Amino acid sequence: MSDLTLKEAALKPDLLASGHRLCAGCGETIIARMILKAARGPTIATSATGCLEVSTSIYPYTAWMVPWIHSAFENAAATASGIEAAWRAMRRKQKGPLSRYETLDIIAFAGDGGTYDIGLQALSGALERGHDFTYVLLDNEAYMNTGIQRSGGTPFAAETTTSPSGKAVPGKKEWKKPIDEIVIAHEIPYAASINPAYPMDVLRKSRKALEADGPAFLHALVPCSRGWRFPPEKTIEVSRLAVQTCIFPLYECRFLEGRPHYELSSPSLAIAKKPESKKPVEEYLRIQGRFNHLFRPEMRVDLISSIQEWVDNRWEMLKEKSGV
Amino acid sequence: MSQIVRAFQPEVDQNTCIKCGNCQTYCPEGTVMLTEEGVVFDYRYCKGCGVCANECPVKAIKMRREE
Repeated sequence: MSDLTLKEAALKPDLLASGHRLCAGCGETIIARMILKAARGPTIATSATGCLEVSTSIYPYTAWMVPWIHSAFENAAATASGIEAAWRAMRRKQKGPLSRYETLDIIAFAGDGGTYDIGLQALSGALERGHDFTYVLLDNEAYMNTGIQRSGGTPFAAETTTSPSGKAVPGKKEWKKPIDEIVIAHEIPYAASINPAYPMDVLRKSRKALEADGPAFLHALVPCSRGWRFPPEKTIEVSRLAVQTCIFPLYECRFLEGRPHYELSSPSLAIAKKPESKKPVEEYLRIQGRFNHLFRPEMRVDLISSIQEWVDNRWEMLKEKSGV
Repeated sequence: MSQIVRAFQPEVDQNTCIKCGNCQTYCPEGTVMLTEEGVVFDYRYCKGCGVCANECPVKAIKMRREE
């Protein structure tokens, strides 16, 4: 396992160029640039429809410095498996443009709509077939590209245009879908959660995911200043709070000897060892405008405490699984 | 093909800067470069989001209103 330091990464040229049309302060490019910096050499990227796809590839321009394919909303994983199968066939026959590459990093970028809801069957199929690719879920917790509609990844009580908050309904009524457990249940070699506020952690996990022999899954939390309604300069602050409040803990899961091995990463491990440093979830909710109705006109203590209970439950479950 | 879309532009005080590289790592656009002479911004593509100023540990970056 080769480690990549932050300084080495800073010296590497960006594979996603400046001048794309994402919003100011968008977290997607922060994480996409970090993951592409961890690439070992020849790289092919593919995207599902989403913010990252529409804003980096406006005809006749492109922001991608690597070969990049987009075919449809639901099949980022299927496209990636096609690329991998083509590369393997060319290697076997020793002819074709990809035949000279000994390693090929295939990265599929998809949003939460393209993973939780629309692309789940393509992802499940690709994981089951065991193609060697890395799937990156850029989870901004709603369909931000089309105007903030709720998705399977939207957390409880968040306001979106299709789950508005009012007198009767407090935003989304369902809980966030546990996509990590669904993916880990496919018995894939590597799955991890990453967060743009911890760049060293992102680089280390992306390199591990790319080096894994088989499908790897990276779940990235991507704050969206437009949809989560916070000022654009607070992107990193919000994502750091998500880890500090344990609503989005950082961990990795490897599949060894027929069973999954969970391991907490250092920012979350520090909280597990020092439980008093865990912040209340209210701090994370208060900074975002999509949870405004929990605080104004009156404090919805019942909803905030049920969110806290959900977070504590899942955090305890994760601690149990990782043996801390 | 670049137009100025930002309301604020970042400015760095090279004397307070400790060259940690946080601004370069966290810039969503990839418009910050940490060089030998200090931090350099690519104003053609900077959208003025202010992530660099917010994440600077010594507050060496200030956001100045665009005229």
